[in-house]
Amino acid sequence: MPATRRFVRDTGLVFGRTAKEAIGNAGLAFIAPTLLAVFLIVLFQGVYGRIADTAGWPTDQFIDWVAPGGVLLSVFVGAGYTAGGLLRDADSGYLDRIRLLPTNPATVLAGKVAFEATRAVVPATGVLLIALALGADNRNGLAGALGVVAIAVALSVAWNGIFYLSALATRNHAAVLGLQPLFMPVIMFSTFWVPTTFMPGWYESVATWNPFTPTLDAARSLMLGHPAWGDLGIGLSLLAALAVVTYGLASRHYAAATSAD
Amino acid sequence: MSPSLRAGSGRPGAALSLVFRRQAAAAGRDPGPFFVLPAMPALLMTVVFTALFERISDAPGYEGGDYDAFLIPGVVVLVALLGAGATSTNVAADLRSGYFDRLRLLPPQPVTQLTGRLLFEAARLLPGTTAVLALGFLLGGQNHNGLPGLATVVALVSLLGVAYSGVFHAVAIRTEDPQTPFQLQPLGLPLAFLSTALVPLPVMPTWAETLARYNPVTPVVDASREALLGDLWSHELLAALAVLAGAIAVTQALAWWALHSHLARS
Repeated sequence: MPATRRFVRDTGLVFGRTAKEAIGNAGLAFIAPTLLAVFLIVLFQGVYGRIADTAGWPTDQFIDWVAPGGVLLSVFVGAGYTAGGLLRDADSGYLDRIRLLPTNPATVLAGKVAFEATRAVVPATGVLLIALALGADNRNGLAGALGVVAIAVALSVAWNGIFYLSALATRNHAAVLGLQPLFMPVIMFSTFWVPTTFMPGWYESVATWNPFTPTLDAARSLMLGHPAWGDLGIGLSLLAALAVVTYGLASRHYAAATSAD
Repeated sequence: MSPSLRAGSGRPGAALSLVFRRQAAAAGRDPGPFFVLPAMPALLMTVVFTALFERISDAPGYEGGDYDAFLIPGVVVLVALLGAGATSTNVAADLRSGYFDRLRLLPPQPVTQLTGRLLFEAARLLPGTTAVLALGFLLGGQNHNGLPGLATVVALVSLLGVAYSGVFHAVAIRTEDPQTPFQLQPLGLPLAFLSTALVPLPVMPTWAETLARYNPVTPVVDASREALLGDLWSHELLAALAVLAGAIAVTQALAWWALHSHLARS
C-alpha cells in the first residue's frame, strides 16, 4: 500500500477511535461547550442587552451583534478536548505501543486534529440555531450560516494548536486545563460585545489590533449582510499563521516523544 | 496532654484559632485559588465593563446616575461569588484522608473545623476586595462616606463569602471531592449577573428583572451601593444584614447536617 494511502487510512482509524470516545462522553465534548456559550450570551443579553436601544448601535438588537461571536465562543469554551485525550494516550502507554506498529505516529496527531475540526461543527451549529431562535439576524440564509460554522472550524483547528503545543511540551494535564481562561481576554478585548464606536480610544486600539477581531468581524459580516472579504482574508491568514507555529512546534515535541529510538 | 489538645478542650476560641491558622497555612502554600482567583474576574470586569458598557446609562429606564460610580460597589461584591469556596477543597481532602475521623477522638466538636474555615473565608477575601475597590476608584468609582463606607462594603463582601461558602462545604462533604470549587464555579455567574451588581433592575428584560429581584445577592449589592453613594445607615443595609444572617443560617445548617450525617455513617 502506498505510504500516502496508508497514512490517510490510519488517520481515519484514529479519527474514528477519537469520535467514538467523544460520543461516549458527549456531555463534555458537545453539550457543555454549546450550553456554556449560550449561557454567556443570554446572561449578557439580560444585563446589557438594552445598550442596543442607545443611539449609534449598529444592529436592531443586541443578539444580532453577539450571535456570530457566540458561535465562535463555543470553540473557545470547548478547547483542549482532544489535546487532553492525547495526553491520556501518552500516560496510558498507547503512544508507546504505536511505535511497535508499521504506522506513522503522526497519524495519531492528524486524526485527533481532524476530529477536533469536526467536533467544532456540533456546538457551533447548536449555538447558531439557538441564537436564531432567540431572534438573531441572518441575512445571507444558509450560505451565511455555513460560512460562520466554517470559520468556527478554522478557529477550532488553530486555537487547539495552542493546547496541543502545551500538552506535548509540558505533558501536564493541569497546564492544558490552565490555558482554558486564555480566551477571556481574547474575546473581552475585541468587538465581541460592542462595536468600536462604543469603546474609549485605548480600548478601541487594543480591539483593533487584537488578532481575533478580523475573524470575528468576518463572521459577523456573513450574518449581518455584506461579507467583509478583507477581514475574512486577514482573519483566516492569522489563524493559518497560528496553526503553522503551534502545530510546527508541537510536531517537533511529538516526533521526539514517538521516535523509534 | 499536648498543648493544642489542652487548648481545644478548654476554650472553643482556641480550637477555632487553630483551625483558622491551619487553613491559613494551607492557603499560604497555594495562594492562587485563595487570594488571587477571587479578585481576577472582578478586576477584569471593572476594567472591561466601565469601558465597554458605559453607554448603558443612555438606555431607556436607566436611573443609576454615572455608570462607573454605579458599577464599582456592585462589581466588588462579585469577589465573594466568583472564586468562592476555596476552603472546601481542604474540607474534602481532610475527609478523604481520615483526618476528620481522627478528630472524633478529641474533645473539639467537628463543626469547629467548618467554623474556623468560614472565618478564614471571610479573611481571605480582603486582599481581593481591596484590590477591586482601589482599581475601581481609579476608574471613576465614588465614595461619599469615607472609611466607614469602605468598611461596610468590605464587611458585606466577607459576610456574603461566608454565606456562600456554606454551599461549597455542604457539597464538598457529600462528594469528598477536592475539585468542588471548580465544579460549582459556574453557579456564581448567574448569581452575580442576575442581580443589581451590574445594571439597575429597570434596564433588564422582564425575565432577568424577576430573577434579579428575588436573588439574595441583590440586597447585598444594594446595601454596598448605598454605603458608598448614599446613606451609610440605610434600609438597604438592614435588609442586607437580615438576608445575610438568614443565608448564613441556612447554608451552615446544610453544611453541619452534611457533616453530621457523614460522620454518623463512618
